[in-house]
Amino acid sequence: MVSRKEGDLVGKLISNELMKMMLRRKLVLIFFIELIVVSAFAYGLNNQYQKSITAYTKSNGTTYDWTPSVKQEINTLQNQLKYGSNKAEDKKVTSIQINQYKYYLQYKMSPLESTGMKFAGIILSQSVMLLLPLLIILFSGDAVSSEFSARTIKILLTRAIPRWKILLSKYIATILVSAMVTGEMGILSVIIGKITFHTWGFMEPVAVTFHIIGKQSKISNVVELDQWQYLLVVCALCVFVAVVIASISFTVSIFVKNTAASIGIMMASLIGGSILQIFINDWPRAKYFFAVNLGLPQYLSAQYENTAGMNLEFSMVVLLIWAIVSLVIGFYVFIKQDVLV
Amino acid sequence: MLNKTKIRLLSFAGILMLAITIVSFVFVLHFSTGKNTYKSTEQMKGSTQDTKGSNDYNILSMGDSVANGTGDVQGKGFAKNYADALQKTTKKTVKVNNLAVNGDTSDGLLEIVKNEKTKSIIEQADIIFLSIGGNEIKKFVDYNDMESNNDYEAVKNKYLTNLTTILSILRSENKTCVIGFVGLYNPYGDHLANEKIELLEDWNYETQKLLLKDENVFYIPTFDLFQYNQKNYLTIDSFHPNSDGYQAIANRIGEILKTVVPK
Repeated sequence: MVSRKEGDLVGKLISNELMKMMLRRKLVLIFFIELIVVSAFAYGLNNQYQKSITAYTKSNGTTYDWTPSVKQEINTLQNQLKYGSNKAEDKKVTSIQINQYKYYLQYKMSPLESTGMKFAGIILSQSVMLLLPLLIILFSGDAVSSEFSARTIKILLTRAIPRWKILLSKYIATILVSAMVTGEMGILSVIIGKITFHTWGFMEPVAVTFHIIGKQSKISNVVELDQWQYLLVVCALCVFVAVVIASISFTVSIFVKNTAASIGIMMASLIGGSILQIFINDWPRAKYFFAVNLGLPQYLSAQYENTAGMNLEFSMVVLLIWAIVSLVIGFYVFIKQDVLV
Repeated sequence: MLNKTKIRLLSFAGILMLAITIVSFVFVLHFSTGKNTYKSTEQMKGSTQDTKGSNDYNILSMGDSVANGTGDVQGKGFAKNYADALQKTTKKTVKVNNLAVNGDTSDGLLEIVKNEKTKSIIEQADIIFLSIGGNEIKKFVDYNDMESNNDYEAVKNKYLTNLTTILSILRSENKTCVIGFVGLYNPYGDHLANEKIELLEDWNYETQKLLLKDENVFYIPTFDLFQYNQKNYLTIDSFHPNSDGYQAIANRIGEILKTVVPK
C-alpha cells in the first residue's frame, strides 16, 4: 500500500515529468506533424476521389445521382444471397455489404466516397505501422537519456526518493502522453475528414472479421459494426501499439544515454520491421519481432490473408511480451546501475 | 498556474484515451468470441414475381457482372438498354429481371439455374441473356506462365460441360424462349500477348460451337466491339464496360435479334 503522502509524491513527480515534456515543446511539434500529415492525406484522398468520379461519370461535379448503380449493386448481392449456394460465412459478408449499400442509398452517397469516420479509420490503420510509432519515439526515446544528456540525472537521483519511483513516474507520464497523442491523431483525422468529405458517417455499417486460427481450416467470425464502433476499436489498437512502442523505446533510452542514438535505434528497428514483413512467409521466425506485429487493424479486414500463423491475438501477445520484458529489464538496470556523469 | 491547468488537461486526455482503450478491448473480446448475435438483414421480400400478363414481354439476364451491368453509372446494363430500345418498337410491356451475380463462374450460374426459386422466373422469360465464363478464363489471361495450358483445357472443358447443363435446364423449363449469349471481349487491349488472345478466341469459338446446337440460341460477339474502343467502352476499372459499352452491346443485340422479337 502506498500511503497518501507517497501517492501525492508520485503524482507530483508525474506532473513534474509532464511539465518537462511540455517545456521541450515536443508535443506542439507532434501536433503540427499530425496536422500536416493528416491534411496532406485528406487532400490526396479527396483528389483521387474527385478524379475517379470524373473518370467514372465523365462529368465534373459530385452531385451525380448514384441511386441507380447502388440499387444495381444491391440487386446482384441479393441474387447471390437468394439463389447462390454460399457458405454461411460468405452470406454474412454479403448481407453486411447489402446493408452498406442501403446506407449509401439512404444518404444518396456514392460508394466511392469517404466520410470523416471512414477517413480516420483508414489513416489510423495506415499510420500505426510507421508514422504513429515514430511520433511516439520522438518523446519516449529521450525520456531517460535526456536527463543524462542534460546532466540533470544527478540532481534527480540525489533526492531522497527511491529510484524506481522516479522511473515509474517518468514511465507513467510517457504512457499518458502516448495515449493522448494517439487520441489526438484520431480526433484530428475525424475533424479533417469531416471538413474534406462533408459527412461524419457515424452509422455506416462496416464488416469486421476476426480471424481465428484453426489447425488447417481458416475460420473467421464476421461481425457488423457501425463505423464509430469500428473506429473506437481501431483507436484502441493504436493506443495499444503506442504504449508498447513507448515502453520499448523507454527502455532503450535507459540503456543508450545518447538521445540521438536512442531514437536512431528505435527508428532502425521500426523500418527494419517493415522490411522484414516482406519476407515473413519465407522466414516465419521473424514474426516474433515486435516491429513486424504493429499492423493490428489490418487483422480486422476480410482481405487479410493469414500469413505465417499471425492473427490479432498472436500479435498482441508478442507485443505485450516485448513491452513487459523490456520494462522489467529497464527498471532493473536503472535501479542497479552506477550513475557516472 | 496556466501550466498546471495544461498538465491537468494533458493527463486527463491521456487517462481518458486509456479508459476508452480498455473499454474497446472488452468490446473486441465480446465480439471475437463469436457469441454475438449477428444483425441479419431483414428477410428478403418474397419473390416479386407476379404471374405474367399476356401483354408482358419478359427479359431475364443471368450470369456474371457483365450481365448485371456493373460499371454502368446509370445502373442499366445491356439488358435494360436493350429493353428500352425494344419498348419503343413494341406494344407489349417490356420487363427486365436480373439474376446476375458479380464475379460468378459457370459453377455459380449452374447453381442459380438449378435453384427451385428461379424456376418460375425462367419459365416466364421471353428472352434470356447469359454472360458467363469471363471470371474463369481471367486467371489464364492475367498470369504470364504458359505452363498452365493443361489447366486451361481442364477449366474450359468444365465450363463447356456446365454450359451444356445450364442450356438443357433452361430449355427444359422454357421451350420457347430466345437465349442470347454475350461473348467475351478483351479488356486488356494491346497489353495482352497474342498467345493469350488466342486463348480468348478459342474460348469464344468453342462456346459458339456449343450454342449452335440449339437454333433458338444466339451468340452475341463483343470481341470486335471492344477491340477498337478500349478507351470509349471500358469503365474506370479497365475491366467492365461503361454506359457506352453496355449501350454498344445492347445495340448489337438489337441487330442480331431483329427478326425474332415481337412487333
